[in-house]
Amino acid sequence: MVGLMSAAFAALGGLLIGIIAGYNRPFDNIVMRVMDGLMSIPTILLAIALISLTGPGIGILIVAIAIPETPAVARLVRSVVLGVRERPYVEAALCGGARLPKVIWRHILPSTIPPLMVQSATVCASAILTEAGLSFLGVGVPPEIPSWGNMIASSRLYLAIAPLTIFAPGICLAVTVLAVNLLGDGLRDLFDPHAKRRR
Amino acid sequence: MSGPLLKVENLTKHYPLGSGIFKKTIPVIRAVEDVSFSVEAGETLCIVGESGCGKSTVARLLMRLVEPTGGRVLIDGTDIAGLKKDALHAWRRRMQMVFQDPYSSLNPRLTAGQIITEPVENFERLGRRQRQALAADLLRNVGMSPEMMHRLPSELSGGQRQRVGIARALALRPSLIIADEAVSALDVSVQAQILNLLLDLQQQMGISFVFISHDLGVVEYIGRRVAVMYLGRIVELAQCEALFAKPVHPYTEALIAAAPVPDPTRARLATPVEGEVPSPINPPTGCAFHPRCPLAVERCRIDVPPLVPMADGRVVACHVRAPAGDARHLAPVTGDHPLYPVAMSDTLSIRASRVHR
Amino acid sequence: MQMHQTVGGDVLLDVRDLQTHFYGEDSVTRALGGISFQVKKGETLGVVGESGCGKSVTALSILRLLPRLTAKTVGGQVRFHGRNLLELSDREMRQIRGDQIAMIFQEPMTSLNPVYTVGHQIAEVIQIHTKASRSVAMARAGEMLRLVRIADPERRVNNYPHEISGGMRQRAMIAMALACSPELLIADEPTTALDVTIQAQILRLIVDLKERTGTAVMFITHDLGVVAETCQRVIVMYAGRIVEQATVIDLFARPAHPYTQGLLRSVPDRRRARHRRLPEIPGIVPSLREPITGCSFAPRCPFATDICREKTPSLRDVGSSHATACWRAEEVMGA
Ligand SMILES: Nc1ncnc2c1ncn2[C@@H]1O[C@H](COP(=O)(O)OP(=O)(O)OP(=O)(O)O)[C@@H](O)[C@H]1O
Ligand SMILES: Nc1ncnc2c1ncn2[C@@H]1O[C@H](COP(=O)(O)OP(=O)(O)OP(=O)(O)O)[C@@H](O)[C@H]1O
Ligand code: SF4
Ligand SMILES: [Mg+2]
Ligand SMILES: [Mg+2]
Repeated sequence: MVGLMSAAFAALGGLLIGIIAGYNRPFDNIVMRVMDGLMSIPTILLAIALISLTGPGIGILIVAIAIPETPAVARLVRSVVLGVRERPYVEAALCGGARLPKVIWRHILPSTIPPLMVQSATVCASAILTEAGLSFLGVGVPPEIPSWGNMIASSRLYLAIAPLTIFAPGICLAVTVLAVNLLGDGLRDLFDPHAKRRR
Repeated sequence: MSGPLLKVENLTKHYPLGSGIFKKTIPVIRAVEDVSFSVEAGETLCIVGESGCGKSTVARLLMRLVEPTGGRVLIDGTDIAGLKKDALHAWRRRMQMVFQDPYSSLNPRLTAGQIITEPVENFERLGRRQRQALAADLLRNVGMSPEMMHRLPSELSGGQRQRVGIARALALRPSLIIADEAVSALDVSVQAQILNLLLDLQQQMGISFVFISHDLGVVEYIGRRVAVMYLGRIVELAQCEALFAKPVHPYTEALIAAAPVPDPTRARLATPVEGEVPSPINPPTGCAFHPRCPLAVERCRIDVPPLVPMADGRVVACHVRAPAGDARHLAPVTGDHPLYPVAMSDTLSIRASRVHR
Repeated sequence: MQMHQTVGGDVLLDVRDLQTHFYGEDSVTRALGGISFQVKKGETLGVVGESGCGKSVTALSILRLLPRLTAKTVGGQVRFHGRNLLELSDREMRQIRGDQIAMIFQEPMTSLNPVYTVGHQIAEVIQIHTKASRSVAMARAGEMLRLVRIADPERRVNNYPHEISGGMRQRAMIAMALACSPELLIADEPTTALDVTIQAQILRLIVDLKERTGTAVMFITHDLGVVAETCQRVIVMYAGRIVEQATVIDLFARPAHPYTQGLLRSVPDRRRARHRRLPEIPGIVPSLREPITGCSFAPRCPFATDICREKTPSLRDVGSSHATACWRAEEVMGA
């Protein structure tokens, strides 16, 4: 849940920033440096810092996880946009009198979707892990809401008596992350005919 | 209408090489340098020249896909280079472009019908029925059957794709179509289909063409006037027949001599012009052709030759063949001897004799 | 079966009923549907045809350079000095490649190794085939560059491929191909990527070198003008088959196959009245995925009759050293 939402936020934010950066040179220069900065801070540290500023809560948690994941998405989208905007068919659309927003909507956006989906799956997987990690550390989802991270954290004390209480959520977590990653692979194959043929 | 449809004055485009935060002077690629020409309504102007001489850049400047470094582009007397976005939007209707590569110039995710009606939808709202009628109409215009409108570009052959590209350019009923190497990627038999189509459309609708190509055979077939470019500049601009009958600029002569002629009985391997096309980053001083030119004199290395009008109406930029000042009275003579004598090579003469025996 | 002229002593390469298929996920592309031709000693044989008709696959099949996973030569023979190249071991084949048969590719950049100097690459070819010492080979590489008229060869041997122009790269490729004086040079569209003035230089060079060394050349191109200016004999390919074979003069004067005729007519030519419609060949090239019954050109052919649609024509003589695969060649030549 938190993972999904964070991934969605990261994807949207990344898409927006990426597209604008792909089309606006000055914005590109500034924002991409900022993004580089964000990327160099470990996700968990950034999230902990954000949460300790505002106090725990699901909403802030989602934002805290989404922010460090955004730069990767933005970079990806930007590179796709930069590639596609030079395509003759985009120039052809401009020649036909299309205005920029329409060109972006009709010709550029569709090309960014497949890689975006794939990336989102990866982001989702890592967001689930981050969430679990944060909850385990006690700064994630408030303890009254059940989450695997919380479960593991609270079971830690009973590890010797009831090991299953820690392994069950742990295994669930691992399986979920694996599943989401596989989903990402599947999406890539679906959208990218070359990758499919190679298999 | 008075005056030419399209008039280009001193058009110049320099591409900066990298950004120059740390350097004082940024090196530039002189892609187009001081190019001027005009196109009358219903006329075809061809631009020829070798790879990298700036042909595509001229086309993109005309469409204002790139901003010029200098110069003006006038359509019916209005300078489109200075237009603001909204006014430019309106002017797009007058000029359309056909691209070189029929594969990459069509969005692979849209159907042929969507592609060709898109320009119209940029200007007015169309209902579903209207859109289909328009698409069918346009497809028939370019000799395709209306059922093709539901196909994706990947389901069409190269020639059909290029027809779709032409239909898209026709959609707005433009007065001028710029065709940048529109047939170069096609096989000869398909190329003939497309060239015929362009000529038919011109006759039916009175469209003017700026036809860019590196293939002299095609140019000679379709052009009325021809501009020859070398390293960003026009070196000769003349009526098609006159140019091919009597090239004046040494480069034009070299180009015509180098083009292979599909006729073995006239087989001749001309002594080709020496040397390679120089880089537009660091073009030679004076006349850009002088390092390869058999006629070059001292002055060619120093001064850029101006375009000088000659008696038959052509303009030529050459210090030797068209000296400035009195050239208006000069008949276009090409000298007593051709610069690139046609030599029968041994194999060729053996071959010829074998056949005539 | 297709007809063979008697194999005289002057035949260098004898290709018989060569068939090559490509295997896709769920389809078979019959890129070569059984082609037969000969290259004689010292001649220049042109191979023309439109994109995708199998010209490059012919060259690659002869040299056994097809992609191993997807392509297979499923039938026929390639006889060179009486030996069938298709039956040689990989080692024997490597000996022949470069030493006796050399090839020049269309895109010189992709066939030169970017991390070695031009001189190094030419010297390596020489070393492999002659066991010359390094310094001897390098000196010979310099000579080869001079032979292909690269100015300042002493300096150029030390250049990397990206440091020289496209025309010079193509010359370097020619130098490399000729380094071991092969008996047969296969040139696959050697000038297509070049400008006309540079193309003229390279064509001139190939013709001159050929005259000097007596190397036979198989010249693959889609440009009829290039064929007219360089070749003595021509084979015309369409959809994986040879449809016509003739001396260049005959081919241009009396084309016997409707495809050749259409091809020749659709080239814009200054001698015809301008602004008259170009005669075009209607329709499109057939897909090689589906088996073709009858003449592959029949759907586009103005001469086609029922027999054309039912039975595949094979090459037959229609004149001295002039053969065509058309049921109605006589009518075509009369038209
Ligand atoms: N966007 C760009 N940025 C930098 N340089 C460019 C750009 N577009 C073109 N150039 C350079 O400008 C010069 C002219 O290019 P242009 O594409 O106009 O040539 P062309 O005559 O169309 O050649 P071709 O026949 O190969 O299409 C070339 O040297 C090219 O490298
Ligand atoms: N690696 C490959 N995999 C699958 N099919 C191939 C492959 N290479 C060639 N083909 C098919 O074989 C046929 C002949 O191709 P070939 O490259 O010989 O054409 P060509 O005559 O050289 O054309 P061009 O003038 O475009 O170079 C084509 O239909 C092509 O689709
Ligand atoms: S100006 Fe001089 S160098 Fe230039 S083309 Fe004319 S003669 Fe040659
Ligand atoms: Mg171009
Ligand atoms: Mg090929």
